[in-house]
Amino acid sequence: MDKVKKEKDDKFTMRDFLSRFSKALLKVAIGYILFSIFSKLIIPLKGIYSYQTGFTTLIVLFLVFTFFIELAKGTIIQHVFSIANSLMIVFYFVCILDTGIINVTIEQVDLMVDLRFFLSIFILGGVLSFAKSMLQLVNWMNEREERWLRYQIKSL
Amino acid sequence: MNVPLRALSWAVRFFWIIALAFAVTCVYSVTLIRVDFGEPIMNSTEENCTITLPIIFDNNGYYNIAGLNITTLITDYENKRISEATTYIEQVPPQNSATIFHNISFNLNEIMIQEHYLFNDSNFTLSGSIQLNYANLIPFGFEANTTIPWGAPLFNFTAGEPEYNTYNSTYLRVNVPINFENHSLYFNVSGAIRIEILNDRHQLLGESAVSVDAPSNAMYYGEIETLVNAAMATERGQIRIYVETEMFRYGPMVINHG
Repeated sequence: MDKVKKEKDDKFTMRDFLSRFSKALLKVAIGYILFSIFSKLIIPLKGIYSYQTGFTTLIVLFLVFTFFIELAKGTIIQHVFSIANSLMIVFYFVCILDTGIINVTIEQVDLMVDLRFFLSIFILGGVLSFAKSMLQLVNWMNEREERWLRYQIKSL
Repeated sequence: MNVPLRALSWAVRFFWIIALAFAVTCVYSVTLIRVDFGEPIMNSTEENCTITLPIIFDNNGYYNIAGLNITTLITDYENKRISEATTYIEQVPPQNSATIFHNISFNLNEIMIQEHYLFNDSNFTLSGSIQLNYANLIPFGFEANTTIPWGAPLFNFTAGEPEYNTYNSTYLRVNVPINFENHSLYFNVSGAIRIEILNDRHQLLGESAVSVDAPSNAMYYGEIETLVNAAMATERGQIRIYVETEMFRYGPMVINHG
């Protein structure tokens, strides 16, 4: 009975794939909508457009990672992508921390904004996500070993 | 392990939601701030001139504006400091507006004693900067420069060749034509022009004055008539011109003639 159930659990059907695929697409769509709203909000601050290119790249990579993390759920690839995603966030914000003081000229007015506090928050968030992903990976490997051991003991 | 991990996952999720919500609302709030400048009010006394600039700070955003510091610096054509003023407002709460009266004072005499400003048009540079802490966390700074035109009150001041005519057997009548343009945008040249006529031994032959009223952006043409002692008059001599108005005194301007 157990064996039948286990086989049923391990079987990855087309329905499961479609369900994960649609979930991944939904997450990406939500992410994209939020990014679009944010982009519209900053339209009055036209001067910071030059800083937007790098941010758009980050968002695109983030959405790609989100898509594959959802698609590869339950496998080691999910954790690998999750770690890569959080490392990318940390790396990106560390790289732009030096340029955290934005100086732009809008209609003959020089504007200075010190965004280093924000960037530090995002770096902290990235580090937390990285720690969480690492722990999830350890937990996943631990559970896999436990399952294998249980299977070995049963087969003895 | 599952329960703490799940808790950690939710904690991280909440962290990101709060951080992103704060970032987005902050950016959106900044776009809702409006700054308007009212009509400047100019008050001038004999020595000081004060320009009061009303600044209306409309904080329609969701966060507090703290440590609002407005600084203006006026420099002259040689980049020398004429006036510096600072206004500090501790905070402008969200959904509130504050009208700030920023006073810029400068000593008019200091400008008027410089010949350059009496006879030449010039420009002053006004540098304004606003520093503030948005949401008590994010430092913002705005800076802008503009020029304030200065029109010379005695632009193109010219005293023409004196014209000598016999008045009687003792005196000669001397007419000195004088003209200038009052380019000043801020005041009229109202007062008197006084002249002294001296001979080549620097003896005073005669003096006279004429009242002047040259409105802003107007030309002045006039003639000053003086009676001089014919016996002491020489072919060569000096004319000393003094300009005395409500706003400034200038002189003597020495013109050699003959």
